[in-house]
Amino acid sequence: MLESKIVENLIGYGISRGADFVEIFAEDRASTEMTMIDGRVEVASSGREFGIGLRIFKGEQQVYAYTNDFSEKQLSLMLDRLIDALEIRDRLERSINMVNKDVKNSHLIFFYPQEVSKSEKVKIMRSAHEGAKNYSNLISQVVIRYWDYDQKIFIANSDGLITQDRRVRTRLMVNAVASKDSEQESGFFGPGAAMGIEFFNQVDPYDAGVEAARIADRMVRADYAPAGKMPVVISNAFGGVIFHEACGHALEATSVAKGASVFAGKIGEKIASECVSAVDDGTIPNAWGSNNIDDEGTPTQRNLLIENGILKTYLVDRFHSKKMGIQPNGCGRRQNYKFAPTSRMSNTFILPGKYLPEEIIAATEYGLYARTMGGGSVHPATGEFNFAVAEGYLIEKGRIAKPVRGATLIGKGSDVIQKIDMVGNDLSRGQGMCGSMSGSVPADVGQPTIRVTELIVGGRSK
Amino acid sequence: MRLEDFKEKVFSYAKKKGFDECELRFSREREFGVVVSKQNIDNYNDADSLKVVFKGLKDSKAAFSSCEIVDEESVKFLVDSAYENFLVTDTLEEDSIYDGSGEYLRSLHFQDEFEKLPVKDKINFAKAMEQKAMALDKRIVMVMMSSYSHERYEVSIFNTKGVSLSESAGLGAAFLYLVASDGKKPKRGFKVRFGSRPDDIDQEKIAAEAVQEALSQLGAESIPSGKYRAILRRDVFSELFSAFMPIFSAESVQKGLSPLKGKLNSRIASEKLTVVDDPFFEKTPIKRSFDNEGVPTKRKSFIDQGVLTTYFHSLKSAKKDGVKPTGNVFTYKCVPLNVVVQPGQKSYEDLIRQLDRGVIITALDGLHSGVRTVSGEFSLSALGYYVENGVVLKPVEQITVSGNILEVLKNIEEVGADSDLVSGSAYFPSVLVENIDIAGSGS
Repeated sequence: MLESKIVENLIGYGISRGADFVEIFAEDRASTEMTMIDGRVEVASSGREFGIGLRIFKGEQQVYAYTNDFSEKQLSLMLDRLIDALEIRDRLERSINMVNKDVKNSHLIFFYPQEVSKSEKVKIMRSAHEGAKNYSNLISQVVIRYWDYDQKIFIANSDGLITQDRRVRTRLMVNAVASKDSEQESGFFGPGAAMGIEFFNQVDPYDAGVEAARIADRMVRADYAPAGKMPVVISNAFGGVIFHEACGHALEATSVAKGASVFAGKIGEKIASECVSAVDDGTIPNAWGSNNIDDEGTPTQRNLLIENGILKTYLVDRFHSKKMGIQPNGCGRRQNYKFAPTSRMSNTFILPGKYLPEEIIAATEYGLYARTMGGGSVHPATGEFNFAVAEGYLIEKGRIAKPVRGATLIGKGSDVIQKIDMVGNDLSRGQGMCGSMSGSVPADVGQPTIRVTELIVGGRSK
Repeated sequence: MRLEDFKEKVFSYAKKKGFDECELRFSREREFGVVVSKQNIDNYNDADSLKVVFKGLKDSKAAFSSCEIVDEESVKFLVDSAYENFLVTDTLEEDSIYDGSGEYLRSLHFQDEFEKLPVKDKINFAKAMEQKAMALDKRIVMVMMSSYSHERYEVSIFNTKGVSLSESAGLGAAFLYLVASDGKKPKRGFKVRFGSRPDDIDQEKIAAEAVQEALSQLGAESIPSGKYRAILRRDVFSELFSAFMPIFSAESVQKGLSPLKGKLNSRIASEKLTVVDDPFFEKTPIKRSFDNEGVPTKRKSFIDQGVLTTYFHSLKSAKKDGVKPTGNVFTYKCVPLNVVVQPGQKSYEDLIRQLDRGVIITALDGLHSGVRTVSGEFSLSALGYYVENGVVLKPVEQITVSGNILEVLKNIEEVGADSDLVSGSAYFPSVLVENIDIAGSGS
């Protein structure tokens, strides 16, 4: 992607001007996006992104620049501007021995997106459309989006690292709308993986359509969720968004290093209920949030974040590593070359416990059963989080009584993870896009079915 | 390769490939941003980038592609991949390439005074703003982000029907995101300001307001669930309204994805509410004379004294409805550029007196997940104050507000006179609304 001479010159120059660390990230990405509405392809577009980002550290400061202009002249100019911004005056002689490091690929791709015709991809969409449309006569509209990309990355830095990798992602997103009387509700299901079109041998697109339609169909018949504090049973897979928001973001070095997180300085302390153990694992073969190496060139790894309620480690990127005295653990991520990387989650989930999901519901006298979740957000400094329930049911006397319309659930992270009192044995994961300082990145959330003894349910009062 | 040559090559190759008409949009972006915390540069961005979008038309069907580099390879990529996209596009609706008819107000040029400032001054702005905030009150324990940024983009559109348009737009912004603590619970404070010129951005004011926001939340507690009268402060009203912008898109309406279907020219809001899309509004920094399809923009109210007067149309949706395109195709399809709510007579303080008893909502979270545009329903995490006898009694946290946006618009009892620039493209007053559902805890 870049001539090695230019790379060596730039890094050598940055170091000689006194930077502590110089990093080059280059990216060449091809993507396809298609939207099908009511069974017809409305918009199909193809994109090619091609850019380069430069980053330098000095002391406790970092600066970043990017461009689409790959000329050495433009890149040197950018580097000069970065050095000036930090007002670095040191001159250093340091020789760097650049070593090419091959990446071991753990995420085998059978069909790269460009090798598959668009009509094959449209077939997948059509199948999902059929699945949703045929589900019930209440389904009034179906919107299908298909998204894939093939990203080639190049990373070089002043620690002497030169490495390259290739990442493929494929995702199908189904939005079904159900209409009844004068009301409309929607259901969403969006499976994805670090795979090519072979992903649809694992996940039947027709079933994905059925799942979105099922949610819309249930919810359009539902009453409003009740309002107030109550026990909440949260289903597996995308239910893991609760851990992602309530705890995960606050374990990222971005907020921990500054002391801005409610979990800063708490390693070795009990921060969660004993039945909670959680990991962030970027190595799971072909998972939506997996990579061989992160966007700083560090191999991804399985990080045990919480074990039986005890905080074990944080998610640490290069920039924050020195300050925190913890080695980078493979979580430096960014949306693309337009962002400097920072610590982010990959595939994050609560480990399985001992209960059957049915047992958890049976043990709940009254509460909300959150069957399908939407997205959420959090303020790591205060721990205030929220996430949306896309499909809910009222639990009465240990049984699922009736469907209730989605409501937002809120709480404070440090409080809520201590209130998880039952963990099921049905671990699974769901796919989403996680947004933060370094942009929007693919991330899996996951958990078995769990119960939280109380959360505020943002429903309606009678 | 020069853009002019690139354009000629793309147009000629597209014709050869079989497209009837085509269009290229070049968007060159300049971004600068610095984020400071504890007097260190935490995040910094200095960037130039280019994006080229190709739209090819054949048999009245449009197909798209985009790239970021202008070279021979891109000529081939844009046209070939768009042609593949054309082959799978089977919509029954007709699209077109704009012919340049109608009146373009004027080509706009952004005088980028932010760019002229030395980088050092911008870094120092962020550092000084942090120091000012910290010095204001000892309960301010940390500034998580003190930011100064600016951006400028230059858009050009050329097509085979003779459209050749070019203009630039830009803005600057500064924000503070900080934490206050009384030793018990930390509370956040946030304030952002936008402007067309560096002078528009008042550092002291941002610091004072962010600090005030955090301090006033100290000791906050939840309140019991129930139906309340509420003031949606101008920034909150704008955020909520903006989250539902897709419901005004004619494409959403036509596809049965909007609750505004069949409501054109009918009452959808309180008579006191008039909302205007004003692409030339004096107080919003971004101004545009044409949209991303090359259609001239124009000032228009879309809610006039409570009546829905228009949807936002692309070339495609306009053709289907037999109307004219409205010049509203921007990053996301069919949205207003600048939303301006006509102010009422009452000051913010008058609104609180009129509220008498209820809540003031000052922050919302979860706007990307807690709103459902097909129904208008929302359920969102919120912060605010509890008001009794027309006086602010205490800060409120850990509550949600829920409802339907169309109900909220109908239940507007009063529109305030306290309009302000609450985002780069929104000029909103606060509103007093009846019957808001709040979930919380306690008694």
